[in-house]
Amino acid sequence: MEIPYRRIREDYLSGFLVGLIILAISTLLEWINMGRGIFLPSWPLNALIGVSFAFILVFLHIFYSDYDSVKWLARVPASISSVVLFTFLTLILGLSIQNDPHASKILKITGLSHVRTSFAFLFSGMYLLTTLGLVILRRFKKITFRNIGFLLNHLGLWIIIFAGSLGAGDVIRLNIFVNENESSSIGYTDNRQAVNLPFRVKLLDFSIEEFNTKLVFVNNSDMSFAGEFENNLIMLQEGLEFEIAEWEFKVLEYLNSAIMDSAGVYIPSSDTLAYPVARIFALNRQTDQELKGYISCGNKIIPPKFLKLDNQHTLPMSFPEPKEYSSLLVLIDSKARVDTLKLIVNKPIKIDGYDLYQLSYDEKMGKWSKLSVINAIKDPWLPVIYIGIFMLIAGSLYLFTIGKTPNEDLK
Amino acid sequence: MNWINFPLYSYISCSLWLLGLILIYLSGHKKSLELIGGLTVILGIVVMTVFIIQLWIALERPPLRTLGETRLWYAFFLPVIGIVFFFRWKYKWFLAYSVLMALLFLIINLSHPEYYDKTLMPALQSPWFVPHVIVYIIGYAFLGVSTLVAVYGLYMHYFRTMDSKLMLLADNLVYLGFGFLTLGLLFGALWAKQAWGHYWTWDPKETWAFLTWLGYLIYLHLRYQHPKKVEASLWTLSLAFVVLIVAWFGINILPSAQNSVHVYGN
Repeated sequence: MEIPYRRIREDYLSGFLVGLIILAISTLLEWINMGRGIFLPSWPLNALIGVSFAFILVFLHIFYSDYDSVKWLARVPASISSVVLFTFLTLILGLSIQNDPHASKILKITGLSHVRTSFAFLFSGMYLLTTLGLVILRRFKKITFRNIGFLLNHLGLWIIIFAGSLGAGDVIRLNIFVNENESSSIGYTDNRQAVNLPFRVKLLDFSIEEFNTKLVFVNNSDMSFAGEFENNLIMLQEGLEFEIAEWEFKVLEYLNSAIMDSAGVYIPSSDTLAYPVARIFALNRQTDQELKGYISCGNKIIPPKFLKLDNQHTLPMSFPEPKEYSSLLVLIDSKARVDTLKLIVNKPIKIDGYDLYQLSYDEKMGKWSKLSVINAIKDPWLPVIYIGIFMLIAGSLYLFTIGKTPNEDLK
Repeated sequence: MNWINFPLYSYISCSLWLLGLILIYLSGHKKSLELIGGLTVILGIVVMTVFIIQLWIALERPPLRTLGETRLWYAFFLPVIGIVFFFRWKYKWFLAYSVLMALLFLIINLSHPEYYDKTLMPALQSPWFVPHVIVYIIGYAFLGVSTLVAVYGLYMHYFRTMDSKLMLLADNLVYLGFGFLTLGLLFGALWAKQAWGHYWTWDPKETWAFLTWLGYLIYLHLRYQHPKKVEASLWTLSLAFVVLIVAWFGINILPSAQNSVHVYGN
């Protein structure tokens, strides 16, 4: 059915006006609220708001679907205008520095300094959920392959936005600071408020495994990267041979953790003051000049050691980078069950409804850190989000099937 | 020192791809010559595969961290998509485009060689790393081609007569690209939950990836609602790619990206 041009224009004009009204009302509310941002409701208020919102959508669909405004909300121009408004606000979010305490008053009062918690973002999200929700309800009538694909994509997205925004107020994110051979059952919020946890963690051991350090080829004048390559870093390894510019190098010896003995020789050591050391052989192919010497990045106390090649170039060593860091923990849950587990990055542990993450350590101490920082996170709405995510994953697979075979002429 | 014999592998792959392309263009209606051309392109892909496997082993981590490494994957996936499209739909120009783009990526890598950098920060050591980046690379490859179609479409719209079949091709590319983009975004969310504890933190890279997704979402809906009004759709498609480029490269220079978890440069 051909849609008259005039109606299309009116539909988009209405969308544009709704967007403007949302922005105007939001700015006014932001002004009245002194730019403090919206408050995130938590359980059970958020659930109540959510159920009411969904109920209103179903109610509108069943009893008022003949009304022009409801019909308009379920049409594509309204969907597009709601997505465009949401995109516009996200664009501000993506371009400006957010939640900067030094932001100017005008940015705070208009909500531009805190888009994510602004009235405009809230209303724009609601507008999006309304258009999306009404479109979904309209398509629920028949179960066909096309409609299933449609529902997976649209309902999946609706669930993610709906549960993600409503559930935000219920997310608990705490940092647990625990030293070796000590235990803690207190978590701290980002505002440093202490919260009692239902479980207790004891840190038996914190350990860091490091990558071998890297050799850097720099200009003497300003210690900038030299050579013709943009990524002038070579991970040291005993026996490794390589060339940079006119130089040939060989790594004669590499010690990850060493100290110098009284005779001036580097020996392997597990002392907390130990540091990485490498002995390098260098040959200049143009001048036949040969050099041998130690390089080291040193540490907080021991200064670094460079190998000066000639008047132009020097070889320093980079600082070690962590390969893996982990905490060996004894966990005692609310029912006094005891378990010993290793917590590593990317592998959270579940306990009493919380997920524990290996977050950080005492970075000044590096691999000698006795402190582990653990993140404890509770997000009760997560299962709902996962339903939305998996629906959308299935929906995107459906997208792979809907392409039509193009005509022969385009070959 | 360069990546293990990278220039040698690149020269062999490039030669095979160009040879295959020439054979396909010279084949006329000879099926056998076309098949030989196609197989030559595939052989070039196999050579690149061998190199990537070798690099992966040498680095002791997935070679997906640096920009040079992602360029390498583009150089691999573009001819793969090109040859699949060629055998499926016989698009010669599409194969030529994907091969030439792959050559461009390889030339950039040859002129900006990288050293082996084996380090990989602990947060990136995850089973999600490879699927997350690969689906994005494939998605970007499709959407890159769709942009080419959009620019060509705009030219046709303003200076020649527009063929609606061109829009069909753009749609097909966007459906595929958008599907991969959605998967990339969702895999990223699932990974973020595992690594940082939350599936969505409005990190600048996430924000821009989401903006990219919204851009193509608008395109799909414009096309659905107004299949005959191609001008707005074509402009949307072109602009969406600008957002994609910001999400891909611009993130390192945006003021909002100072604390992004996605800035891994040295």
